[in-house]
Amino acid sequence: MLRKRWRVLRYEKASAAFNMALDEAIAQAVAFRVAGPTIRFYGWEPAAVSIGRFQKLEEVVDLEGCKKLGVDVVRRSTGGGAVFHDKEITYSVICPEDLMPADINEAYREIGGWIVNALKLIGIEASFEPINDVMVDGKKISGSAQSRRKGVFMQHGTLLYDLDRAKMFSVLKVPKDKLESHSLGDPAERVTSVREQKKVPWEYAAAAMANAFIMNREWYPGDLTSDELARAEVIAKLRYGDRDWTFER
Amino acid sequence: MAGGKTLALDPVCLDGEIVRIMMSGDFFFHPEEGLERLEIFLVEQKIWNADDPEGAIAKFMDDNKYRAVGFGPSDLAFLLRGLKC
Repeated sequence: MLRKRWRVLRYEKASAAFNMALDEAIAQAVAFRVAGPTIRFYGWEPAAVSIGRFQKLEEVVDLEGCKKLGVDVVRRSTGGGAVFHDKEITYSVICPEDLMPADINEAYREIGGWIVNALKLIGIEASFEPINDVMVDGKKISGSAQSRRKGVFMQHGTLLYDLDRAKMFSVLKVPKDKLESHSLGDPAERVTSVREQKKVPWEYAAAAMANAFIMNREWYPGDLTSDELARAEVIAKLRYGDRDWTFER
Repeated sequence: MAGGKTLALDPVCLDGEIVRIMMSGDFFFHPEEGLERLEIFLVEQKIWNADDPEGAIAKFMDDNKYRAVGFGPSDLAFLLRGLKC
């Protein structure tokens, strides 16, 4: 296995717990040097809310709303805020730490730049905004969260493809201090999507993401190993699907 | 906080004394597991009573190679000053 040759996994949908567990299982495989740097694109079935590692669940998620709409809830291993995953393209980049900038903010900027490039490929002008957002006309279209463990860099994030604001804000609660810290009024108006900016099919947006992520990189279309899948099953059951983990804070 | 992140502190009190502090918000902390050690450090050292809480927090973070993104020692020190049981 070439250390700098990226494995690109094909887009697949899975449950919230399995999605988070799979990112962790891949990170373990990279840490054990049985997998090389990996780029993964994925979706969520059913739709889900993921919350940051340090967030208080009941402050940021409307659990009743989630139940009513059949939306899953999962606590991520990474920091950051609550995200509603529905009509979007989620990515993860998992690699030895030395393939990414040592500085956390610089790494956010680097991958943020890949997303800006992806949007450019489909005719949308976007810009990276620190700490971890990609914006179009002052509205958020992509966010991400990063972790570094055992010499492995992992960043996952989303690109909003389409947006159902009513659904999004019936499962997310916006903390009061967040509302006060922004000059824009309605939180629903602070986000946008690919579809709102340009009427391109989902496949175009997905292809643009893939192209931007592999640009100037050696890569091959790869598969998950049976070991990664088995580990993910266990991690999903013991951690991300566990109520104690979800309600930790 | 910086970058529009939130940080909240919840004290757990026993007999009028803070026995635990829980930090929450949409900030980042590397490594993530270090946050619990920071929470314990704040209580064990009663950092809110320290002469230089900001310096003590910064030193703890440096010594352990911990990195927070979205808040800094001064933000945390500011919130600790206002903690009450």
